[in-house]
Amino acid sequence: MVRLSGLDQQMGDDRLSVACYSVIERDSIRILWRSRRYNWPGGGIEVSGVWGIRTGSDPRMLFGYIQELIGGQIHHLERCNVPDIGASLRAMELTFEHAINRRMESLEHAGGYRDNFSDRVRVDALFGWQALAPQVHSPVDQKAVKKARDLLRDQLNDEQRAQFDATEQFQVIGKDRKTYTIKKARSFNVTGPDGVRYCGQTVDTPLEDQMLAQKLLLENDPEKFFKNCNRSGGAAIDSGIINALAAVAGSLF
Amino acid sequence: MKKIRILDKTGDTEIDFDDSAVTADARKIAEAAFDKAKKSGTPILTKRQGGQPDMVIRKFSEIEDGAEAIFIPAIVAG
Repeated sequence: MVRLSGLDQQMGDDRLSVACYSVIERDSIRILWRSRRYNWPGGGIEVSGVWGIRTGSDPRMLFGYIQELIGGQIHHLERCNVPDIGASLRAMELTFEHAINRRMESLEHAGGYRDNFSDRVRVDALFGWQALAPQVHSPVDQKAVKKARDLLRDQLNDEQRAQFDATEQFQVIGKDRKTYTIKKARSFNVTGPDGVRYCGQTVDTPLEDQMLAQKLLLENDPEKFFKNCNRSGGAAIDSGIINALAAVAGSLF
Repeated sequence: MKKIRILDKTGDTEIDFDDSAVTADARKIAEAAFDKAKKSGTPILTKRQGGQPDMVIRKFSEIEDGAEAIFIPAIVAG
């Protein structure tokens, strides 16, 4: 039986709001989804994540770190009168994601937290709260995205194409004969059969090009891909739990 | 005719060429792109005739007629 509870709370900073949800699994694993927004006058930055921890563990160890990391950076940029805080934060999205993932890993290894769950973190700098000057925010090149998507679909086999069209992800058989799942996301979007997630990105290409590059490398030169990847998560977990949690996570996000 | 696709911010840039004098300029551009791809990225041959498997291209001369050579840019740790 899965029970869902939610709460909103202010964390003592008037620019910060937190929404926390927890799922209590029958074998006492607490899985926490969070979405918090850090505000500055021009917009906000949002962090969302899925993290597996034991019941009774204190998630504030991670929340406090994130508040310090991102909130601290915003304060610093404001104090330095940086003219375009949004662009600076956007450039740091990946840095924040890495730092938060590393903190998750270190908390897990320190004990008291479960480390056999496929955690993920995503950081998005948002610019939706006031009009932006064109030089601040580059619009997505839809023509490039379509071209990349068409090329990717053309390079997939029938099964992969059907998977991609339905779910925005597909599976490939690597040269090592292992099955990898490639999802449409910029960071940690490749998942191995053991749950390890890999983050090896192309720079300045549409996301679909990155997915194609990852597919071709895994199939033809996997060492070149893994050599330049960050890794996160791993170890086995009952697939039934993952499916149940993914279904609940999907309804929350 | 040989085709290469360079993955870039436009999606991809296509270059068609063969061994004739007509496409000599395109061939030079393709060869320069191959040298760059080989240094920092990975050039891979796909859609080969006869259903042959994809392969990593080690030499420019390995680009086959009718196949597609996709030049993958450098992968960086994310």
